[in-house]
Amino acid sequence: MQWRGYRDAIPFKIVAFTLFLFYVLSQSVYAGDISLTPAKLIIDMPEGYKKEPISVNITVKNNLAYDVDVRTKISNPPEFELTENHTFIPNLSWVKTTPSMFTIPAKGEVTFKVTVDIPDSEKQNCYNKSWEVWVSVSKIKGGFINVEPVTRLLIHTPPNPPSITEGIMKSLPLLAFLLTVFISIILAKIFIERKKKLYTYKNRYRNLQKPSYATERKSILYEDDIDKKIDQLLSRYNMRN
Amino acid sequence: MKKLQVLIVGILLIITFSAPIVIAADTATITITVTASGTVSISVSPTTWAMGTVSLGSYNATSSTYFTLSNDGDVRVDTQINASNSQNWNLVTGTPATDEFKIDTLGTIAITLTTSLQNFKQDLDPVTGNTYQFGLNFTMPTADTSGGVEQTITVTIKAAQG
Repeated sequence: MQWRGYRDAIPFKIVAFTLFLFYVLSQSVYAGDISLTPAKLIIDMPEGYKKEPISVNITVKNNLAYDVDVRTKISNPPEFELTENHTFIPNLSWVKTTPSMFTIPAKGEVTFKVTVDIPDSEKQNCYNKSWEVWVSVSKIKGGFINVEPVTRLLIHTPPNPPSITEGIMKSLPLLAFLLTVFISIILAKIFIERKKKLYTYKNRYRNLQKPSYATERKSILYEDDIDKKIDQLLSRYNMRN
Repeated sequence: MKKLQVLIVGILLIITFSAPIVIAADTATITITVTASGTVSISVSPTTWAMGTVSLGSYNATSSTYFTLSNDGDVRVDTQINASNSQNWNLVTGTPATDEFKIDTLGTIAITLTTSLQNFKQDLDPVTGNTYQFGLNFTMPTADTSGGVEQTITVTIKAAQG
């Protein structure tokens, strides 16, 4: 039984040794510590600037068997590495990463956000531009030699400021609406003015119809005169008869 | 009354003529293009170099194949290299003096490192040749005024899609 056990143990040891060797070999051809996806990001704005900042995602993967603390970095590329027809961004602070420091779990990945926010005051000077910014990730506690994978972020600003005709064409429905509102207000004003005029005329007419105090007084005097006259005539008539 | 009328008409005219610009800005669509499935991943092995005790004014070098730079991603990369100053010593490209040191790369690409990035291995292809071997030569300062304080120096290799 013991011999049988010993005989069984030999292939087990061989398998264990083979597995160990495989483990060692697989460790020696390990993938890069941290990898970055995508390698290149292009932001195109062919139809103009948007009010809110533009955000894109980058995923960083930890290929190691333990957690790694990393920091993101925004930098200008070396001049000799600039993509053709691209220049440096005027201000690196226009590009931000959130979060800028984080922990990637062992064999795990984390997606961080890259935000491009060109200030409104600068937009007028930033048409038809092609900028290149590098977004890299590095280990906070690295060794003597550190590697930093980089994502090339290419930002293409709008080709031209919006022309007035283009703007008018685009906003034709709103223009029509505003015009309708405008005409309605004018018509309403005209209508109200007319009504006011009519009311004034009517009032004037009413005022004309209404006897004034003087007229009233006159008419009273007049009536008294008539009464007196009638009385005179009656008395004359009576005297004659 | 007349003033009010003029004011209303004025406001409406401003709204009417400024609307196109405002609308143009609001309705603009932003196209974001992302290159497909590109992953940058590089590694250096080993990441440490046990230099041992090096006397002032002398140098210590690895073999020219001591470090292996590997492209483990799926895109061709260009690499750049630089080194940092230490707490008390400055990196120089000439012969180091007091509190100055120098690092040279050994191998087919022989450059003296600076604090700025310099071109290192170009076109490191994940398929046709994903590794590059190199060494380093560290030249010590002629004198140290820090009083023997341990100095931390980092060599950084950046890799971007080539």
